[in-house]
Amino acid sequence: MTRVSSWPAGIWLSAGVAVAFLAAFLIDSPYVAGLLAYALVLGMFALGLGVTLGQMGYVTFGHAAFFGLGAYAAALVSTKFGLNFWLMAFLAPLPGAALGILVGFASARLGGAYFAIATLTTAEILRLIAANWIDLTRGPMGVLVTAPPLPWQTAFGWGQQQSYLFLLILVVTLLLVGLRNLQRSPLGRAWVAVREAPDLAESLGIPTVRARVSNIAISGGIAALAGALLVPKIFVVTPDLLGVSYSATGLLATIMGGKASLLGPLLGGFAFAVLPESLRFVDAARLAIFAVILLLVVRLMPGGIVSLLPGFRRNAPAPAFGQHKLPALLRPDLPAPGTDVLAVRGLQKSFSGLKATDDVSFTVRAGELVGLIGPNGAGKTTCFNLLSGFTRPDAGDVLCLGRSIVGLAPHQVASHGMVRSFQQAAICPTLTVYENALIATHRAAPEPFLSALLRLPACRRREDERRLRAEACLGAMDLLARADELASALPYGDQKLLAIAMALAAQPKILLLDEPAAGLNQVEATALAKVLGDLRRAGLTIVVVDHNLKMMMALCDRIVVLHHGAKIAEGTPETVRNDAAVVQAYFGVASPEAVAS
Amino acid sequence: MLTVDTLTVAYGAIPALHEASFTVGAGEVVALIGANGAGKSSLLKALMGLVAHRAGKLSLDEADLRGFSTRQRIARGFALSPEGRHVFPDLSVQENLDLGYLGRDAAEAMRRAEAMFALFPRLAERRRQLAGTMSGGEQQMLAIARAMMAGPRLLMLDEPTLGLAPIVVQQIGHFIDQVRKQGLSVIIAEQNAEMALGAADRAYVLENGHIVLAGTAADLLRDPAVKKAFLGL
Repeated sequence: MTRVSSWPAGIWLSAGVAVAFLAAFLIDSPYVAGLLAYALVLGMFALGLGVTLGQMGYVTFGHAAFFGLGAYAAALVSTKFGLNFWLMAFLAPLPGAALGILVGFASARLGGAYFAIATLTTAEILRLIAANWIDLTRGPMGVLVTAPPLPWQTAFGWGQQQSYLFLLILVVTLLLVGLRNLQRSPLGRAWVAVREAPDLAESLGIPTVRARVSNIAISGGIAALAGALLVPKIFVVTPDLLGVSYSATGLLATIMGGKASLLGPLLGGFAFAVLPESLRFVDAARLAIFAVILLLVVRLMPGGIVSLLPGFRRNAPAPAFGQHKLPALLRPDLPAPGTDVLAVRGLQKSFSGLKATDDVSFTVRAGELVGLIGPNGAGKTTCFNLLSGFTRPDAGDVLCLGRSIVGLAPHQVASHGMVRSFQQAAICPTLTVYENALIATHRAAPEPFLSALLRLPACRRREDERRLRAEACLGAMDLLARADELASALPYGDQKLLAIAMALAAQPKILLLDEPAAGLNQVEATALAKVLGDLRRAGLTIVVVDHNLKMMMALCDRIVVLHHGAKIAEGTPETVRNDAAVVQAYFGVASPEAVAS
Repeated sequence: MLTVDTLTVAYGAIPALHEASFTVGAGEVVALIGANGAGKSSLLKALMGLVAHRAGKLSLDEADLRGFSTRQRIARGFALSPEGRHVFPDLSVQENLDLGYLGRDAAEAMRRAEAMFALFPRLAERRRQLAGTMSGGEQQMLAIARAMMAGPRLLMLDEPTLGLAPIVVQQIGHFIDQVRKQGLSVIIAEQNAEMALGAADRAYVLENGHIVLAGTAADLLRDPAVKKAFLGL
């Protein structure tokens, strides 16, 4: 893959900020300054919306709820209690984030359309309250706000407009830096994982509900700040700020600018502020023309305006490999070989009367490699779903590393030390192989929020750790040469290997692999078997479901056979191979020797 | 029946298939074997018109297929059961099958579906069940049955035995025998070289996008290079 040379984001940012400050300094037309301020506020709003829409892929139809709430909160508190407006404006993210948490918990788990509708109704409820609670908000008349001079206005004798512009530029800059830091942290990657493959994220130990709620809270907080900072320009806070028109503007600006990046929404916000104004010369038709431009942008540039910038690329290239000493593939605190690490007791699960898992019990000891085989539909995957927390059993218990994990969320099971892979390779398709692996390091080296936001030295150190771990896991699966390829472009078999690399990056003590060799030919399967064998010898406990008998017979210490949800045999590969019931149910008419040899 | 002449497929700058030439006769079962990324799936997708080929020629009964859409190719008798099944998870078995039939004759659709249920009794038991809730093997049967609903003359199976228990692999082999007897041509792309060569008349071996070996399935099964590279013997 050829590497496109790109300007480092830092240079882009510094250049942009310098130009903005210079422009703010040179502009003396109040009209242009006002337009620029409006552009910055809209950009900020879109930036906040982009956190949810772009990073996490949740469409929102009512982000004005946050925007207007911020404006009203700052305006009402400062006027009612006579507090400094600017101070209140900077506290506006708090109610915004609180509303985000509320909406997030209420709807985020449902995702998609439900979240969009939840934001839409929230905005409408808030708008109705603002319009009708006349005593508090003066209804459609609006709250009048006079912002006091900013400290640097009096200190340097700058104009009011200019001081305001400087403040907005400063805030946008800080937001860009902070969001970029988050984007490159486990939290930002968790958002992307939720967008791309939520089940995969859970299976890797990422608490997806918390990730979703934090995303919406941050997005809401930024939108609220934008709303509050619009107040000094408009003086009057009216229910319109909570209306559909602002929601639509934010959504469309984000899409038009390019939702996948941080710069995109900002550019989109600018376009939405400036274009309708600059189309004034066509007068009545300007909004129609603007709508046509918008349609064309969406149709012709799905990546948004930002994709036109030189050097823009969606996926960051992987670093050079082989520069540093890699961490050990496996965690040092693996349980002592021979101890029981997984005990399945009388596990039962029915789906609409059909027994998918029928009183299954088996035990796995540390360092063992146990195979789970059976005809298609025997309940092997259901069994994995029960073990990994994706499905709750009707009865029975699963003791994992000395603790019952029934009722735990999948990410808690993963954090407890048992990580599973999926039958249909679960990967994040629009990310590169390397980015996929990096997502999977989330659990192994967690990052506190503030440290990620400020990208503290400790965060950089842990980030290096995560990068090396990703490199080690890709190396173990021989995928380093394809690190910069999109995961969706990998052949099916390599996608399965990537999924295993990701499971390893989550640092399991017990690894559950669902059909890792499906899609591999016998030679590739043998290579995989060697890797799995090495991991087992290094102390990892592995449970494998697969139909590649040649591999399974050579690899497994013990095999458990399921049929119609129930265990019909258990023993060494040799015993199972000669078991009449297993031959009948699984191997079929051909003699087991012919199948397995 | 099908003639493929120096077909080249590339994604961006990366060639996935390089000047591949081969033929499939009427009523013939042809296997494509090769490692991951060898170009088997790309070849089938190019035949279906799902990816555009960069150079070369595809013809069915002497007629050039250039410019034919996937739908037109299906109308002329192509059908693909894709790798990884890709059944519609939230639709029932019956609905998945209905989508495979492109005509408008409801009675004919019903007749074909019944034929599929006769071929795969397991699907008949589950005709109202959502495809996403079925086991991997059942989904694979559904994907094949859905392709058969188009009434193909040339059936392409991409990894039909992926994730299937040995007993189901035997059933798929049996199924291929049956459709061959009905006069269909079949192309199987398979990792499971043993199964594919067992079911096929002839086979081509792909490596890094090139066809490196061709011959009767029986000859290839005995070929030491094939044994070493794909059967792990």
